[in-house]
This record gives sequence, C-alpha cells and structure tokens, in this order.
Amino acid sequence: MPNTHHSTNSNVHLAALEAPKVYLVDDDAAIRDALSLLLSLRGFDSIAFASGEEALEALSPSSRGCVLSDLRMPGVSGLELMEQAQSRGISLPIVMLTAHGDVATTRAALQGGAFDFLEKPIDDEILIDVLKHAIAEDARGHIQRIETGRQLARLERLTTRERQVLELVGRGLQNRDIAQELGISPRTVEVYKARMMEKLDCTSLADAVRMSMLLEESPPAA
Amino acid sequence: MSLIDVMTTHDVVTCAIILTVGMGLLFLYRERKNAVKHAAVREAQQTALLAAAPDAVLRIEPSGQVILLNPQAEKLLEQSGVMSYDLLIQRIPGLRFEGDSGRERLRAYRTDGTQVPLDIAWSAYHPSADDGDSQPTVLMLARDISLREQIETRLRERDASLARAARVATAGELASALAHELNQPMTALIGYLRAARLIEQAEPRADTRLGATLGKAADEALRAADILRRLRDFYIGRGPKSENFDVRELIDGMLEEFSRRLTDKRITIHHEHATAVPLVYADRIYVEIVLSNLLNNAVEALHDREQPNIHVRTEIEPTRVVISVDDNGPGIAVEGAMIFKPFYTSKAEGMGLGLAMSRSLAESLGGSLRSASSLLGGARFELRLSIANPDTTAM
Repeated sequence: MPNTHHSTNSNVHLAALEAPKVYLVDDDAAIRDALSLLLSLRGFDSIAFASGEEALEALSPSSRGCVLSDLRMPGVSGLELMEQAQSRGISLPIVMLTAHGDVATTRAALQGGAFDFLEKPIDDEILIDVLKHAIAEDARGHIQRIETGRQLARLERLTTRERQVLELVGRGLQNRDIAQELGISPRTVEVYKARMMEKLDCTSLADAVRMSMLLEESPPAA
Repeated sequence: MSLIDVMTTHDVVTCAIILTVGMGLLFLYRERKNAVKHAAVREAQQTALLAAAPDAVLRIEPSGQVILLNPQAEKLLEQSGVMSYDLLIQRIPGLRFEGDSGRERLRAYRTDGTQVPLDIAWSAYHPSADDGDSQPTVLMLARDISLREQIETRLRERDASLARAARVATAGELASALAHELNQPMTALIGYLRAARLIEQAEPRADTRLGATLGKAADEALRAADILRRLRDFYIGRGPKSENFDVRELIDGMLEEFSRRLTDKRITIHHEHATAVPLVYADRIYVEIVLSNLLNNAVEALHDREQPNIHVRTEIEPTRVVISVDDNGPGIAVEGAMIFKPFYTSKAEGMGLGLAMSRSLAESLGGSLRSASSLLGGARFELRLSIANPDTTAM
C-alpha cells in the first residue's frame, strides 16, 4: 500500500531518511566546543548553534534526533526556541540546560513540553542517558506519526457512505440500526462495511473501531 | 431759705470732700468686686485649660512644695494635689532646674516599677517683680511619649530587619551571579575533561595514570560546582513568604518614610493609585527591597537635576498590578537588558547587584521587573506583581 505520493504525508517519509542528530544550542562557545567533542566521542552526530535564531533556521519538521538547548540565552531564549519550534511543526524532543535554582523557568519549560532538563554543570553519564532517551522518544513518535499518516491516507479513500458506516460502527451500532440511521437496507450496509474494511486494511471490527477514532482528524472526501 | 444759704463755705467744702471720698470708696468697692469676679472666671478658665491639656502641669514653689495643677500630673506622679520636691526628684531622676528654662527627655518611675518616657519642658519665673533675688517659682510640663517611642522603636526595628533582608538578598544575588557565571566555564571544563578521558581510553597508554588523573580532575571540577550550588542554596533557601496584601498601603507607608529621610529636599515625590487596586500575592519584604532600590536609584540619578521629580504609580492589568517608578534624571544609557546583569553598574561605588537582585526577587514572586524610558525624560521601572485573587478587591 504505497502512499508516499500523498501530499500531507510526504515530509514524514522524507524525514525517515534523516539520521538522528543532537542539535546543540548554547551561546557559550566553550560549552559548544566541549559538548560537541564529548558527544562525538560518545558516538552522537551533533551540530552546534550559537543562538536560538540559528537553530530555528536549521531545524525543519524533517529533522530527527533531539535538541539540547541552554535555557537562558540572549535573543531567543530556550523557552522561546521551544515555542517557535513547536509552532513550525518541529516535533523534536527538547532537553533544556538550566542554571541551578532556575526553578520558575524550569517549571515553565516542563509545562511548555520540554522533554527533560539538566542542571549545569552536567556530568556526561546523565547527559548521554537523557539524550539517548530523547532520541528514542523522537523515533517512537516519528514511527507513530508515519503510522497515523498511513491510516489517515486510507481513511481519505473512503466514500461518503463508507465514512458514515465507519462512524456508526465506531459508535457501536449494529447493522440493522446503521441501516435505519442511513435509510438503507441492512444488506447494503453489509456491502459498504465490507468495502470499507477492505480499503482500510482492517481484518477485525475492533480495527475498524480504532480507525474510526481518527475520523475527526481526517477531512471528509470532497 | 435754701440749705446752701445756711451753710458756711467751710461746710460746703467739707461736704464736697465727704461726697468725693464716698464715691471713691463706692467705686473702689465695685472695682474690687469685679476683680474678684474676674479672677474667679480666670481661674475657672485656667482649671479647664489645664484639665484639657495633654501634658501634666505642675508648679514648684520656692518653698520646695510641688503643686500638681491638673489630673494628668496627679495621675503621672500618683499623688494628689501636693507633693514634696524630694519625692518629685525621686520619681523623675535627673530632673534639674538650672537657668531660666529647659527641655529634656527623662523617665518617670512609677510605684509599680514601670517607666514612662517623658518630654519635659520647664520655665522659671519670679511671682513679683521686686522679688528678683529670692528663689524662683518653676512651672513644669511633662508629656508622656510612650507611644512616640514605641513607633520610633518599631521603625528602627523595621529598618534593621529590612536592611538585614536586603543584605541577605544581596549576598544571595552575589552567590547566584557567581554560581551562574562560573557554571558556564565549569560546564565546558567538565565536558573537556570527560572527552579527554574518552580519548585516552580509546588509545590506552602504558602509563595508566593519565586516565585516572583526568577522571580526578573532572571530579574536582564537579565538587567545585557543588560548592557554588550549596552557597547559592544557603542564601536563596529562605524563599519568599507571600501573602495577600494591599500594595497601596505599603507604598504610602514607604514613601512617607522615604520622603522624611530624603536629604535632598528639592526632590518631589508624587504618587497616585489606580482606583480599586486588587490585593497582590507577594512577600512584603521583597517588594519593599525592590521599591527602595528603585527609589534610591532614582534619587541618585537626580542629584544634579533642576526640579528633580519622582513619580510612583499603581496601575492594573488583567492578572497583574504594575507599580511604576519614573524619574526625570538622565535616563538609561545602555540597552535595557544590560542594566539587570549582575556586576553592571553606572555608579562609581556600586557593586552592580541592586537591579539584578531586584529582578531576581520580582521573578521569585512570579512577577517581573522591566526598564523603559520615562515620559518625564529619565528612567522608568515597572514592577509587576501577581493579583491575589480576582474576586478580592480592596475598596
């Protein structure tokens, strides 16, 4: 079932080609240098930026891996970087580097969706551990998004009637009730249901119910 | 024949004299009666006046007798009417009447052992002008100043605790700034050392001490960072003690105090409040430290200005109360964020921690401190504080 031609999901698939990287953002040159060296020695592919602005220019929805960013920076702060990345559809987990005692900003960072935060100075074991988890989280989210994208693509192939049947199946209605609701015969419902299940590549009714939950995210066919 | 005809000239003269003397006597009698009456009125007035006076009033006669002239005096000295000079001195040690008049602060000791602080004024006089050589009479007034002393003590204590809190906050800011500034190179240092160890491990040398030494060096750097961390925690540990309060009262009280102490009396301080300012949720001491910092900065900026002005205002935003301090000094010469950096100062003797600390304090309260250009031509600072609860509005 290739669906890479589908416009809404093409970026998701291109993204699968990018290798995961650690996007390191810190205004302190020595920290960038030291951490880049350390990360490369620990087998990470990393790229460093001196400011949030620079990082935002390089990041795209297809970027994979995670962001390791200082919280306090002149210009775009770590928090602003996170907000702007999110609004641009960049789903990378962000690990914040904070100064000790920055309780208020740290809390704001976590509430804003930061993956984790590390207090400076950081020791390498903890850093490596958190980065590994962040990258794994990104991969997991990425695969899930691909899967969701596939399912949405399948949903888009349903006709209006098939969608209606799916929606009512999702609500737990029996064939007879569906027929009554739509003003058609139960036999016709059977036909629509079979076609719908086939298009959605569903082998059980449970699969179909699960798919129906995505209906809200999928616009009805024109 | 008329009476005149039968009287001799001598008789007439005698008669006239008698008449004149009689009338004179009558006149004198009436005068005397009036005088007595006036004296009585005057005395009544005097008694009423003495009773109404806030001070204890007493008269010390040349004989050494002390006459307590009003109930206040009787109450203060726990005697009625009259007492001896010796007892008076015993009750108010240090009391002396030298010269024509005097004023001093003394304490009265009451029979129950308590003390009453007194503001005493006295004046000596001679009851009659031709009596200049004799002992004078002394009129003395004593006012109970317990209340004033209490207020003064309270103000002194408040000042001391404010100064202490400000000192702690300054030290905290210093520790925090140091920790922050040193954390950066420390982070890089630890990163380099760990990297060096990894490089060493990739190609082990015959001398194994290098790897171990690099490990120890990194551990020491971590230990140094930990010391900074604890130093910072020690000072920041207190944390704000927030409560709901009316910030207008705090500002009014502070400005009254501040104006009273202002050495540069040319400076005028205006202040106005928005109507119905909601209560804020903050630590009073923190707010006072921040505001007194802003006010002191404004005063320093105004030292060579003509018509120096400071405006303090409260305004309301949906979730915040804004307290602004404006001055017509020279304004802020550098970019806004710069002045909040630790160790930045425009003053010859400043440490550059006042604004950094003020901002930290404001942020620890969930508020903010920002600078701007003032419409008055100088600097403007806006302190934002969280509103306690939108429902509770101080009327």
